[in-house]
Amino acid sequence: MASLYQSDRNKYECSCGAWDSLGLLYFCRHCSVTRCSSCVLVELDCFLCQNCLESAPVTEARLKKNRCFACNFCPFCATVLTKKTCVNSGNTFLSCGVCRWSTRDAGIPDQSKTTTDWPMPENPLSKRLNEISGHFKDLETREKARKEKDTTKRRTNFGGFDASKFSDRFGVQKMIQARKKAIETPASTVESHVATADVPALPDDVFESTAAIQLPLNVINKQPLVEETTLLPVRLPLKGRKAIRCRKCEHHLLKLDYSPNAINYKISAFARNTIPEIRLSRGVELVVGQQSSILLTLLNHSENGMQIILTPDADDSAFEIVTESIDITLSPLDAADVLLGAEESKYSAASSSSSSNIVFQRRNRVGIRLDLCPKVDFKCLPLSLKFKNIHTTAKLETSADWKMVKVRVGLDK
Amino acid sequence: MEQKKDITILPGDPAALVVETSNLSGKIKFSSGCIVHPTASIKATNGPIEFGESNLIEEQVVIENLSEDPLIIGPNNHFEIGCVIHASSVGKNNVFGVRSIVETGAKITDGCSIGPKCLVKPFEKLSPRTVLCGNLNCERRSNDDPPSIASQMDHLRLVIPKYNKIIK
Repeated sequence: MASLYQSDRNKYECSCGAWDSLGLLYFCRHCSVTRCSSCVLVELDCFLCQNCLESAPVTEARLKKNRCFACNFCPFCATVLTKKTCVNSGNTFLSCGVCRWSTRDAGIPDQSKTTTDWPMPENPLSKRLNEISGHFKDLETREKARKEKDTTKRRTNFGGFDASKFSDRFGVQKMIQARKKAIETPASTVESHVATADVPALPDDVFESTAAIQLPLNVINKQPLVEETTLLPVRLPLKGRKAIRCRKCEHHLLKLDYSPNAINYKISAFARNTIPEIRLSRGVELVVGQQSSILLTLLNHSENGMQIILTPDADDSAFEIVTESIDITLSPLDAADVLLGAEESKYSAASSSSSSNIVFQRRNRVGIRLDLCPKVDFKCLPLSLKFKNIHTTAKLETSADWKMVKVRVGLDK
Repeated sequence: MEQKKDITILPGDPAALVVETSNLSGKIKFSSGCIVHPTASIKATNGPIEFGESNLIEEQVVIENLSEDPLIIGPNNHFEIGCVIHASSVGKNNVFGVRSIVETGAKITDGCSIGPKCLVKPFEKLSPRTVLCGNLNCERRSNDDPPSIASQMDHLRLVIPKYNKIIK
């Protein structure tokens, strides 16, 4: 469980020089290097509704303003509303299971059973907003046309002939005419707002009347201009599902299955499946000037056997190395064997090691002891982890190379 | 000191189901259709408690009458798991959510819905169809009663006698 809850204790070096825990790193098999969250490309795979799991392509999502038309959440407590059927009429209305708010409270009439898209009241300012956005689009085309006219070279009279007399084979004439039209037509006008001194006064009791029912702050945040009686259901925002690519070779490192219902990955290149994991197996007690030992566990989560050479780095000379290096072969984990309780001797026979620093070896796990002599009190043990795993390369014909990753094991309690 | 049990189960159709593994003490009266789950505690410590028809009292509910006046609980109330009720009166069609607390002397009228872990303060009077919800104990007024649990009660009436001894 420590690898789940204290995953940030041990840091691995990414190819970009950043340090991150193993669970957050990827391993690109095409470049044969580790990638961290800052050296990958994140792209939007698709949009989907978290409630009904309906996925929408980017263009459709934009048209729908990134909202699901079928699902709504409660304006009061932000729980997803459920559809209820009225016993008498057979019509449906939306109701919240937590705070019992319903669309009837908002005065929205019940809808027929077949309605999937719950109707939304129109924005009273939508006509004006469309007018303004249309005006700005018009201004944009005019500006663009004028800019093009200034920058493009003018070629008049090809050898004495008028260019307009040639057949418009390449659509140049058409383009020029369109540009001309854009410049010549008068600009659309939108009436601007006029300042007025005639402002209606606030009602007298506005500061005195305290509403019997106090709205929670998050509701006021969401729909600040409405009273409780006119709260309206809110359409559920769509969620973007992301896919991750390698920044250099642009191969996918992480991609979910196409169907939003499926939770398995189509492609997953987690570093955990390639690089052996290092954990502290016991609490460490170091005494300066005395030989001490650190007990570590190495785990192989990949599907292949792995050869590992573990060397302590004494660059900062915080300690003196006693154990030079440990050479181990780790077998892969066979899930079927764990379930069937297969004999462990099968695994230990497959592993060969000359080092006497091995404490135990069980399936895909090996416990090792690193002896060292601390010179000062230190909190972080630097290690060089060399490993040979057939999974590190995408090329089938080549044999596995030795790869190296630096690890910092946190010794804090 | 263990108080003497004085339990009256009024006859009717459907019959009230009070399981033997519930903790009952004092003078309690159940009307027809009531269901009391195992480990529910109903204590008429100082005054008696009277349940109306078709009340559902789930596991680990504590209903205690600390005053000397009788605590009269109306029909069709739903006491969800682990709620604690020290109210002085309870009307009809109320829902007491999981682990909600109603303090001493509070008065619950009709059609109220007290959300999970919500609190009704001592001597507070809830007007009809009040809804309490959320961790901020937000209060609002519903324009409808809580949904009926009749189908759930019918199912429980079939299942509970199969696995529990019922007080006759």
